[in-house]
Amino acid sequence: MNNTEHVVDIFTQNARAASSTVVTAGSLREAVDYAVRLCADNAGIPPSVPGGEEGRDILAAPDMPADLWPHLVEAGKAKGVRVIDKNVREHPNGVCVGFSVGDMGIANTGTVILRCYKEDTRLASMLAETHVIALPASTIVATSYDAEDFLQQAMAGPMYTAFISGCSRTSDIERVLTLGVHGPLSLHIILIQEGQA
Amino acid sequence: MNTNTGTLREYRKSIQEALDDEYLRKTLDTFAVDYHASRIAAFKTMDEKEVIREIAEAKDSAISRMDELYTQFKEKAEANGVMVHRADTAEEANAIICAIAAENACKKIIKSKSMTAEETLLNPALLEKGIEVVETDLGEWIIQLRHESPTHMVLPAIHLSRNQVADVFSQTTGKKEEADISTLVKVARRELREKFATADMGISGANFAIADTGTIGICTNEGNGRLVTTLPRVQVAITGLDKLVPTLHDALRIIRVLSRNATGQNITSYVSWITGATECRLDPDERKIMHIVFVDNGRTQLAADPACKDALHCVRCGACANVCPVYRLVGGHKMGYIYIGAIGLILTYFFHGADKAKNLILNCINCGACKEVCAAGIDLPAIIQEIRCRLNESQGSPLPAKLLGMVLKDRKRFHTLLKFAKWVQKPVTAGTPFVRHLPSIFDVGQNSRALPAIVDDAFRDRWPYLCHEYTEGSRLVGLFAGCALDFLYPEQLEAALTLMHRKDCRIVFPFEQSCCGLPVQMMGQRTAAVATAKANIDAFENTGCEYVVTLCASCGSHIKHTYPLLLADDPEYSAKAESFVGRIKDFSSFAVDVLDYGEKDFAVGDDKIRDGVCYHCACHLCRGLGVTQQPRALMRAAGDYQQTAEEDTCCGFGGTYSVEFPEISSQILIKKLDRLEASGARYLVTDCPGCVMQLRGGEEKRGRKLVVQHMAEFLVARLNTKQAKE
Ligand code: SF4
Repeated sequence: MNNTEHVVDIFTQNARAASSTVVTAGSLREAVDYAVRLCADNAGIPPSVPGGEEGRDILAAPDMPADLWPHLVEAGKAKGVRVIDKNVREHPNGVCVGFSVGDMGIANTGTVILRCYKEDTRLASMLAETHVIALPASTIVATSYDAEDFLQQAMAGPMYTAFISGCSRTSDIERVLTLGVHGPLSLHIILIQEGQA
Repeated sequence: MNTNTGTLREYRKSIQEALDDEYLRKTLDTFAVDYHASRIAAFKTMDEKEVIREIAEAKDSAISRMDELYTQFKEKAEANGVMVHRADTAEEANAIICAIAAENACKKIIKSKSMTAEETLLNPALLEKGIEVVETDLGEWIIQLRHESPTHMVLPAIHLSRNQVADVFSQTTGKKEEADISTLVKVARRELREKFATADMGISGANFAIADTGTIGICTNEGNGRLVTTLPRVQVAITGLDKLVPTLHDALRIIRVLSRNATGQNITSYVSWITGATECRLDPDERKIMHIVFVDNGRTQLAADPACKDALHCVRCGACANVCPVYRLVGGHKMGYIYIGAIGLILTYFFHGADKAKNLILNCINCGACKEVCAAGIDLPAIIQEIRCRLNESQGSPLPAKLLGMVLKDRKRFHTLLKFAKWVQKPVTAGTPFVRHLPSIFDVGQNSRALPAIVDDAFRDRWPYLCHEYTEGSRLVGLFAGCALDFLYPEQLEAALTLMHRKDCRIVFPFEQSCCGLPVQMMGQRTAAVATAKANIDAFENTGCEYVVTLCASCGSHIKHTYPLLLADDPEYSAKAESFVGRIKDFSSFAVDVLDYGEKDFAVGDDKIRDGVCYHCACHLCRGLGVTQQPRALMRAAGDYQQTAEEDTCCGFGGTYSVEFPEISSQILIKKLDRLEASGARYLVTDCPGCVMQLRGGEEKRGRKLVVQHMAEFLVARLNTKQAKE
C-alpha cells in the first residue's frame, strides 16, 4: 500500500467511525448519478420536519461544475428528481439531498473541508436530510496541520469554511447518541478515484 | 434559584438534596466510568500530554498579549466587514447586543451554545427588552424550557431523564410527547426548525478567535451553530478575550484535544471557521450584518495575576467535572455558579465575585483528578487553594482554620495539643483504637467511618528508645513522619524502619519536623503553611541524608509541589526548598527504586500468604507524585495482587475536606469500598495514612471484610524470614 492509499484508508475508517457512509466512484459524473439515485430512492420517505413534503424530490446542488449541470438535470428528469442550484432558503423544512464537492479531506478525523462562502452552499449541506459530498481522494491529507496552507488561503478574505465529520448528532438526552438533530440525518462521502471504474 | 451562594449551612443542605437524587447519582456514576474508558481510547494514538503541554504554552503566551491580539483581530475582521466590540463588563456586553438588536429591528433571536453568554446573563437581558430568545442546542433548549441553568459545560442537561424531557416537551408542544429519545430529538428538530426559519438574529459563541485572520471558530455536533450563523440576517458572536489565539495553528492544536477530552470523540461533527461577513441573501447587499463582542469581565485583571492566570487557558472541555469525585455525587448545580467543575469554582470567584464563590471554593477534595486530565494543563487544585487563602485574607478565616493555623505555626504547641487531645478522647474510645462516639456536634455525617484514636505514645515518643537500632548502615535516610503516622499509626513507621534497615539503611528522625502544612494550606492559611514548610526544611537541613522518605503520599505531594511555590520569592528558602524537595521520596518508590525490593525478599512456597490483595491508589501518590508502577510491583512480589476497577479514584478522605463536607466524603467512601469488597480480596493496601484512616474506618463500620494496611505493614508481614536469618 502506498502512502496515498494509506491516508485514504485511514480517512475511510475514521469517517465510518463518525457514522459517515463512504463509497468510491471513478468520476464526479458517477458521484452525481449516485446522488440522484439516492434522492429518487428516498423521495418516498416521510420528511422529518412537517412541511418538508414539498422538498422530498429536491436535490440541491448549488456548486455543480457547469459542464456537469446538464447531465445532472437530465439524470434528475429521468428519475423524477427536481434539481435546484439556488434559493435553498425557500425550503426551510428540508430538501431530500444536498450535493457538495469537498475541497480536502483530513484522514485522522475523517473530516471533509468545505469552503462555503455562498449561503446556498451552506444551506444545501444543512437543510438536506441527506448530505452527499464528492471528494477527490487525491485531496486527502493525514492531519489538519497538513491542510493549514489551504485553510490559511481560504481565510485571507471573507469566507465560511466548514470541517464536516459525520452528520448532525447529539448526546444531550441521557448521553444516548442520536443522529440528525438540526442538520442532515446522514452523510455520504463519495471518494472520487479518477481513472478507476 | 442558585443555592450555592447563601450560607455554608444552606449550601450543605442543598448538597444533601442532590445526594438524595437517585437518578442523578446513577447517571453521573455511569458517566464517570464511561468517560474514563472513552478518553483512554480517544488518546490511544496520541501523546496527549505533549499536545496539552504545547496548548498550555501557547495559551500562556496568548493571554499575556490579549490586548495586542484583540487589536489585530479587530483590524482584520473589520477589513472583512465585521463590527468588533469590546465590553469591559457583563452588563456592557449585554447592552451592546441589545443595541445591535434594536438598531436592526430584531425581535426573534436564535442562539447556539455560548458559555460566555451564560456568564453575562444575556438571555434575561434580551427578554427584558421584549425580544424572544430561543436556545437551539438541544440540551440548552431543554434547560431553557425548564428555567434551569446547565449542569455540565458540554452536556447541559445531563441531570435529566428522558421522562423529564418528555414532560417539558409535552408542556411546550401542548400534546403528549413520548419518552423515547429518538422521538424527543425529532420533536426538537421539528419545533426548532420553525424558529431557525423566522429568526432575524443569530447569536453564537466562539471557541477560538484567530487574530491573524480575524476568523472565529465554532465547534458543534448538532449543526445548530451553522444554522444560527447562516439563516438570520444579523449575526452576533459573543466570546471571552481569552479565546483569542494568534494563529490558525493554535486553534487546530486545541481541536486535536478538545472533543477527545470532552467526550472521547475525535472531533465535533462540525467546526465552522467564519472569516468576515459572508453572503446572506436576505440583505440588500447580500452580505451578513455581523458583529463580534469580546467580553473582558475580569479577564484582563486575571491575566495579570501570576498565581491564577492559568485559569484563562481553559478551553471549556468540561473534563475537570467528568473526573471529579465530588461532581460525580452532587452534579453541576452544586458544583458551580455558571461555569461548572473545578474551573467553575475558580471562574466563579473571578467573574462573579467572592460572595458567589465562598462556599463553592471549599468543595474541592484536592484529589488532583482534574489537573491530571485538563486539556489546558491547568493546576486547578493549586488555584483553588490560592483563592481560599485570598478569601481568608480578605474576609477573615473561619474559626477552626484560624485556630489550626495559629497552632501549627508553633510545632511544640501543636504537639502538646495533640497529646492533650489524646486524653480528651479517652472516654470515647472504649479502649479500642477507634473513637467510638464523638460528641454530637462533631458527628455530622460521620456515620460511615469510625475515626482512629490518637495513640498513647506517638512515634516521636518511641524514637528515643528505637533510634539506637538504626545507627548502622551504609545509606543515610531521613524519615519524614507527618502527623497521621506520628500520632495515629506509629506502627506503620516502625514497619518501614525494619524494611529500610534490612537493606542497609541508617535512619535519622529530626525531632524538629512538624506537620507538612497541607491541612492549613487546604484551609487557606498561607502564613501557617509557609511557617511549617520552613520548619521542616530546617529540620532536615544539616542531616546529610541522601533521601528523605515519607510514608504519607499527601505529605510527599504537598512538599514536592507546594513548598517551591510557597517559598518561591523567599531569597533564603527558595534554594533550600528545591534541595529538600529533590530528596523527598515516597516509601514504595524508595523500596523498589533504591532498595531494590522484589520477589526474592518475600516469603515463598508454604510461607507465602495467598489471600488476595487489592489496592487503593492514593490520589497524592498516583497523580500527586506520579507513582503508579512501584506499589503494584511490590504487591505482586509479596502477594497475590488483584487489580480492581477505578483503583485511582479518590477514597473521599481529602483531609480537612472530610470534616467540611462529611456527607460527600462518606458517600465517596461507600462507593469505593463496595467496589473493593466485590473483588473478593482479603487485604487492601494503600500508601497514605489518610486513606488508611478513611478506608479502615469504613471497614470497621462495615464489619471488617478487608484488612486495610499501609504498604509498609503489608510488606513487613510478608518478608522472607528464612533469608533474613541466613
Ligand atoms: S479547566 Fe481544563 S479540564 Fe476544565 S474545562 Fe477547562 S480545559 Fe477542560
